[in-house]
This record gives sequence, structure tokens and C-alpha cells, in this order.
Amino acid sequence: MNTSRAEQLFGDALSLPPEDRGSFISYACAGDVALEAEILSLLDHVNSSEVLFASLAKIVIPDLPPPSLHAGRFEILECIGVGGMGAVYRAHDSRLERDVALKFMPAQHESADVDNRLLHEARAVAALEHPNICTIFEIAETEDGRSFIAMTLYDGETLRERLARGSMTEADALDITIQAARGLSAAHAHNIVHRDIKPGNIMVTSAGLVKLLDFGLATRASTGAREGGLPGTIPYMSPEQLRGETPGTQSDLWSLGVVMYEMLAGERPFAAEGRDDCITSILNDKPRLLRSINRQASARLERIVARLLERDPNARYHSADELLRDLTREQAERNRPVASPLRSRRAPILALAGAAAFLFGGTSVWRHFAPSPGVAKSIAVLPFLPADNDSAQKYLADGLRDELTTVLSQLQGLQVLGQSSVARFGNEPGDMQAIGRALQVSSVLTATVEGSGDSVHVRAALYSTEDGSRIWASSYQLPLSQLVRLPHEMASGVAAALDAPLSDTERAKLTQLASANPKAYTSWLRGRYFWHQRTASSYTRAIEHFEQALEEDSSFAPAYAGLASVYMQQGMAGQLPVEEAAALTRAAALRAVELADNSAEAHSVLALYLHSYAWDSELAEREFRRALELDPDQPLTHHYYSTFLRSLRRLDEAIAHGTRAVELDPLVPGYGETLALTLLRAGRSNAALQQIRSALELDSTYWRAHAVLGAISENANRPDDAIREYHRANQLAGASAHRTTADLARVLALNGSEREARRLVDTLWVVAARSGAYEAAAATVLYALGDDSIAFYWLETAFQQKQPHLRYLDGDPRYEPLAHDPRFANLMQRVGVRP
Amino acid sequence: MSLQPPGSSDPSHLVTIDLLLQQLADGERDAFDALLPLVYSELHQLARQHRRRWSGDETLNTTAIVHEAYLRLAGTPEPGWRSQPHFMAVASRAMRHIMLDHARQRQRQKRGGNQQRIPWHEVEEALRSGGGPADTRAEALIALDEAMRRLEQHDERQSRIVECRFFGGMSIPETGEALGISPATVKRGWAMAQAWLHRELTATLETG
Repeated sequence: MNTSRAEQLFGDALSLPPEDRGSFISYACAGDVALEAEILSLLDHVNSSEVLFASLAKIVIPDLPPPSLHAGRFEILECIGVGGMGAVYRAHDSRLERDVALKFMPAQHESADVDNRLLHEARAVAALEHPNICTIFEIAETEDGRSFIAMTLYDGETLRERLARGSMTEADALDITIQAARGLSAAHAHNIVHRDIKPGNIMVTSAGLVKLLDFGLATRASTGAREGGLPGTIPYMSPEQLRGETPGTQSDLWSLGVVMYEMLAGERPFAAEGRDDCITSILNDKPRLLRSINRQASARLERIVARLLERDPNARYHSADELLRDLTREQAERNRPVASPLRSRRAPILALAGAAAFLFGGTSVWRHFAPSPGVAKSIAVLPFLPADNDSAQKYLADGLRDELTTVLSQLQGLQVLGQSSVARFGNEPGDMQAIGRALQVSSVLTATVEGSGDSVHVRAALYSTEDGSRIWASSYQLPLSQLVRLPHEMASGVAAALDAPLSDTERAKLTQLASANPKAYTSWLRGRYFWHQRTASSYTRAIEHFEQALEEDSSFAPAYAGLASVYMQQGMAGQLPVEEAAALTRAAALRAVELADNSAEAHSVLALYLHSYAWDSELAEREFRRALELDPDQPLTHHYYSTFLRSLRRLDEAIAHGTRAVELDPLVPGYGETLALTLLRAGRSNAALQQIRSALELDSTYWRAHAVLGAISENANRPDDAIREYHRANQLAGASAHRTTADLARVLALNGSEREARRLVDTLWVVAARSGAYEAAAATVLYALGDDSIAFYWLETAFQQKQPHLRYLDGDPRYEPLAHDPRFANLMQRVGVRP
Repeated sequence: MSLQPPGSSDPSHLVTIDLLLQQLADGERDAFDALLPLVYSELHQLARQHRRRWSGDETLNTTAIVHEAYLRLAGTPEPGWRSQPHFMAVASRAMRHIMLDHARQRQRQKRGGNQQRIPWHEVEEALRSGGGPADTRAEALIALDEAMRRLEQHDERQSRIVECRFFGGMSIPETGEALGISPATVKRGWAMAQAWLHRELTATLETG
């Protein structure tokens, strides 16, 4: 027999539909009976041989179906699971430098139509952005034409794994059902039916977030399961699905009901062994009452499950939204403090914290803690102590603390406050009580941070200020690459200990950050550290780090927001020509908003840009309002808004927002410094002095704080003190000294040192010629020197360049002498800060 | 370039892998025989080292190991490198031997040399439901190897395709390159070989 002829005909036959193969072979063999019999016999083995080799491959090669090491730009690292849907691999995305999960569609002989429909659906799901739906990055094909889906690699476990570990609390079950129902509601709104809701397709991340996996892919999976003769997902299939009807949204609700039952009862409602018995049971039986299995089960949950498990689809909940109304009402009932004030809500969060500690291989101790009645739950986060004093450890400690503060401030019912005086206190239990008295907080969090090589070790402890006792302590040891999750894990621990649950929107916010590329996040932390130093050289370094973050993850919105802030400052500081700074700031801020429209930081950066560079206060204020709506506790928003308000001479509001910024983040000296200056403008020089002293306590070398001290001295008519402070600021500022150079020159001019003042003002021209900045500041010196026409000439030049400084002159005491000149009023009107 | 195979201090093992691969490409069958033991010992050592990393003790991530073996043998640590297609074919065959050795060893340990076979349909059923006990899996590999020997007699090219695709974890284009045939031929041969092997396994072993 000619084997290559047989191979040719065999291959040709395979490309035909199964029903046509026989007649083709007998035609093509043209009477060669042996050849015909051989090929027909082999064709009989096609389907079962594929199943065999697929199962064999599982024992010898996890790469199933055997892929090459690369799929597009993804480098396949390891197989992390093989299921009915095909194999899932951990892979590295070389372009975005992050690990992703790749899921390969099982190779089966199905028509191209089915393939296209599945891909179409997968693409539809990819377009769904919902915190409870697994994020799909892309759908692509390998060189040899196998389709795969690239999606977020979540850290966590599937509900199936979770259930295998043991029973769960009602509150946990309720929480997971609610989140899953939210995901379904979003999908159903787009007419996407999941078709295969089951514990294996419900991911619970280590942050407690539910992610629905494998949307719309079920058709393929279920046929595969039937061919293999295994029940597969039958126990979760709805009666109408089993009858072969096209499953609708109602079918998903049934499946969710089965899952909910399993979570609450610890067993499936239709648990018959074997495929056929199971199908019969689903089609005919009524499941046992939940309460007959779990006597503690609540009657209300029993009713919800029963409505989900109505055999008639029309008798079930009409929509996921309708189900959600009942579920959330139930959750609200449970969370009502009257019923059982602490216990009811603590359970799920504790479970979450426990899971987190388990995950990190950390240890947690927890003590029952009930805040005294009447004392609001509040926390002060002390500066984290780096194990070594090198700058890398310090930025790490500062960055973590900043991030944790932000996350904590998003917790419901928890006031995160502090004042600059926090820095004065030590970490001893006696100090905790002192802090409690001084800051009026009920708890204090301390932590030490130790980074070695590529891992971090953080030990955190939470103390009650009532008696100085320790409420909670946890130790986290994790690779640097996992750092991004740490603040969230710590916050979960603190939330559990203080009984301050995460709301859903907060959770959603947290995931956004938590899913960030860890390398990008680390770079961003560094960038933020340097940005807050506010010197010319630190701005440069901040930009380097932010750009690095974007190389790691080009869609990492916080890095764009950071870049926008720094470019904006560089334009003000003369490091960049105004036009260039404006263009760069605008582009970065818009990109940040585009990527994260729900980020308060992005909107407030855009707002300050609109005010300073686009000279549009109205639009700016709208953006600030939006930022405050998105997150009323974002310190940067309050800080920027305060700056904006001060420039419009709305000093009371400016003080209120400036104070809030300092309260929310007492460790950024820039916030205190800005508030001090506003207080000074409002004539509250004592408060200003107190505020600036706190800022200096945080960082005695912060040059801008010394400049404000100079202004306070000037205001108090102590020119010598003012000269000394401006001088000090000038020295500390290094290359960014120009702003205080003008201040120094002006005070010298006003106090008879004309020659020295003129020498200094000459140095400003050099900067002005290069970048266009500081003409306005120089004008104040020239005016003081009596050269008023030249002063106004320079102000006009600044105006033509649209210098952002001009937006901040009105009401600034340094420009007060010029303000008596009608030319000044005219200028301020043209600048747009006066009507 | 010259190299010393790991685990051997015999200077006669000093060979030029590039040269052998070149000869292999030129169609010299002897080159294959010279390469195989070299690649085998390297792969075997790697496989032992990697065992701890595998998810199950029979699970070999062959592609990764083959690539690593080539890197070590050829001594080119450059990233982004792709192995020589011919090397892949040699390595796939070596991989087949390693897996089989491993399966035989396990079988001996488990059953103390008892030659009683498990009926094939039971093996197949166990595999389909996720692998079954370790000796069932070893049984499957041994049976497959016996069928492979017969396929070698029947159609050698198809047996090489199976080695590359199944034991080497190679894709269809990679297999085509390694064996110097078109991807379409690989695809047909692979489908037919699988059916052929399945028929062979069920026919000869069904009765146990």
C-alpha cells in the first residue's frame, strides 16, 4: 500500500465534513479496496485519538496543545491549569513587562462560524470594563493559527478551590454572590450571557474581589465535556440549558443560584452522581431546604436561593439587577449596627485579612477591639521607619505609608487623620496615649520597613490610644515585585481590626491600583517621592521614574498624572519654556484622565493646568469639583484646589481646603507650606508661623518653607530675619533658587542695598532669557528700585508669553506696591483673575 | 565550538555540535547517531534538575528543557535565540527516550517487575479523567512507545513527526522546519499518525 497516497487522501478527507468523507474515499480510491478500508478504519479513530493525545500530552507535556515558547509577544512561562476550556499558561508580556494569563481555545473540529462567533463574543467581553469581570487584554492567534486570550493574571483562587478548603460564612457567601451578580448585570446589559457560571469560573482575588471568568465560551466547553462523557459543568446547568434550548440571561441566574446554594449549604443542590442522574435530578427534583442542611441559614437567603432555582425561567428573578436589590438589602440589614454591632460585619473582612496573611506567608495577631462608644473610629499613621537610612529604603517607607494612608482614607467610617506633629512622637506604647490625646484619634498605626535585595519585610502594628495596647499586628514578607498589593493588604488588616469595611466602589478603586504592573508601581512610588522634594534636580529625577513607570505599563494613569504635575512645576520654575511646559502638562493630564476618568488626582492635575496655563478658571473649577466628587479625601486635590482658590483671593475656602490637605496627608511639607502662605495672606500670621514650623519639623531643609518664613518675617516688618530666611532658602534650593533670589533682591532693594539687589536681579535675566520665567518676580525688584516702567515692561513680556505666574500675582503682598498702579489692575483683568 | 558533555570527563566526547548539526542538515545519518547520546545525557541531567519545578513528577515541560539543553550544549547564552531546527528533532527523539526510561523505571518500582498489563480501555479512561494513578500513566507511555516502534517500521516520517510534535512539544511550523517538510505535510502526517497509533493501541491491548 502506498502510504504517502494514503496520507494525502486521509488529509483530504479530514478537510471535508464527516458525512461526506466516506463517499469521497470510495470515489478517490477507485476500486483499491485495501486502501479504502485502511483509510476508513483510520478515520474512525480520528476523534478518539485526538482525545487520547490530548490526555497523554497532559501527563508528559503541560504545554497543551503543544505551543511553542512564544505566542505573539507573550513568552510562555508555565502551565497553571488545564480544564475543559483548554490549557491556561502564565506568560510574560514582553512589551508591557507584566505577567498575564493566556488561555488557549481547545482545538476541535468545529466550523469556522462557531470559531468566529466565539471570538466575536470574547471581543465583546473584552470591551466590558467591570470590576467583577476578568479583564481581557487581547485575543490573538499564534503562528500556527491557534486562538488564545490574554487576560489579567489574578492572584487568588477560584471559588471551587475556596469551597474545597471548607465552609464559608453567610456574609462571605453573600458578598461573593453580590459581586458575581454585579458582573452578570453588566454583561447582561450588553446581551452577553455567560452560559457557564460555576465555582471554577468565579475567581476570588486575594483582595476579596470577585472576577467572572470565561464569558460566553461555554458552548465549546460543554460539547467537549459531553464528548468526554464527563459531567463537567452539568450540575450548574439550568433546566432549559439541559433541554438544549438557547440559554438566556435567566439561565445564568439559575447557575448563580446553584453556586449560592453550594456556598451556603456546603453541598450542591443537585448532587446526584453520574451525568444522567444529575440531569434527571435538575429537571425534576426540588433541592433540599437550605435550613435542613445548615440550621443557621437565614430565611431571607433561603427565599433568594429558591427564587433563583425556579425551574420555570419566568418565575426566577427577571434580571440580575432585581436579584441585586434583594441581595444588597439583605447585606444592609446585616450591616445595621443595631442588630449585632460588631460581629456581623467583621467576619468577612477578617476572613479576607486572614487569607491575605496566609498568602504572604505573614503572621497576624488580632485582639478583640471595640472602640469606646462616642469616639469616632480614627487612625493616625505614623511615618514608617526604614531599617536603613539610605534613600532607597526611605522612599520605600515613605511611599508605602503614603499609599496606605490613601487607601485607609477610602475606608468607610474611618477617619484617617494626623497633623504634622505626628512626626514628634515615638513608637512606645506610652506615646500612643499621648498621640491619642494630642490628635484625638482612637488608634495609631506604626510600621518598620526593611528592604533587602528584591524582597521587602514590613512589620505593622496597630495600637489603641485608649490604653496603649496593641490591637493588631502583622508581618508581611514579600518580593518587591508584589509590593503593589501591600498597602491594600495592610489596609484590609487594619479595616478588619477596626471594623471599617471596604465599600464596593472603594474595592473597585483598589483593584485598579492593585492590578497595576508592580514594576510600574514601584517606579511611580519613586517618582512621587522625588516630586514632593520640589527642587529642580528632584523634578528631573521624578520625571525619569514616571517615564520608567510608563515604559513598564503604558496605561498606568497615576504616572501620567505625576508627569503632568511635575511638568507644570518645571514650567513655573523656569526649567522648561512655558509653551513646552504647557504642551507637556496638557498632554500628560489629558492622558491621565482618559485612562482613569474616575481618578480624582487626574482631574485635579488637569484642573490646575487649566487654571495656570490655559487661564480658564471656570473650566478649572469644574474639574476640581469633579475631582472632589470622585474622591472627597484626596489630599492632592485639596492642595491644588486651595492653591487655585488663593489665587482668586477666595481665602476662606482656600484655608479650608488647604487645612484638609494637611489633615489628610500631614507628611508632605508642601501642603503645610502652601497652607501657611494662605494663612499669612489672610492676616493670620500666627497660625501661618505654627503651620510652617510643623512643615519644617518634617523636613528642616525644605527650601520653600524657609521662603515662607521669610515672607512671615517681612510681614512682621523684620527685614533682617526675612533676609536671613530668604538667603537660607536660596542656599537650600540650589538650582531652583530663582524664586527666592527675587525675594531676597526685593527685600535688599527696599532696605537700601541697591547694588546687591541689582546684582541679583541680573542673574534672574539669565534665567528669564532662557526659559521666560521670573520676569514677573524681577518686576517686583525693579519696582522696588524705582524702575517702574521697566517693571511693567517685564510684566508685559511675561503676559505675552502667558506665564503661569501671572495667574498668582493678585493679592500677593510682594506685588502690593505695584497694585496701586492702574497698569497692574489692567494687567490682572487681561490675565483673567479679575473681572 | 567545542564542548564537554556534562557528567563526562572523557575527552573523546569533545565534539563540535555546530559541525554535527551541519552534517545532519546535509543529510548525514551518522551525525544523528553522534548527536543523540550527547543530547540525551544533557537532557537527562536537565530533566533531573528540573523535576522539582514540574507540577507533577511525570510532567516534563519539554520545550523549555530542549531549549535550555541547546543553550548549554551550544554555549550561546544570548537571549532571544531560537534553537537549530535540526537540534530540535534530535532533542525530541532524546526526550522520547528519557520519558520512556522514566516510565519503565517507575513501572519496575511500582510493580516489582510483574509484567501484567492493564487493559488499554482502562488506561485510556484513566487518562481522560485527568491522568489516573502514576503507574497507569507509565503504562500508557510504555504502550505508546511500543506502538511508536511499529509506526517507525510502517512510516518513519510519521514517527518523526510524532516525536517532534508530542515529545518535543514543537508546533507544526517548527516540526516542518526540523524535518525539512512542509507544514501541510506535518499536519496530515500528524493527524494520520495519531489515528494510526490509536488504532494500534486499542487493537493490540484491548484484551489486556
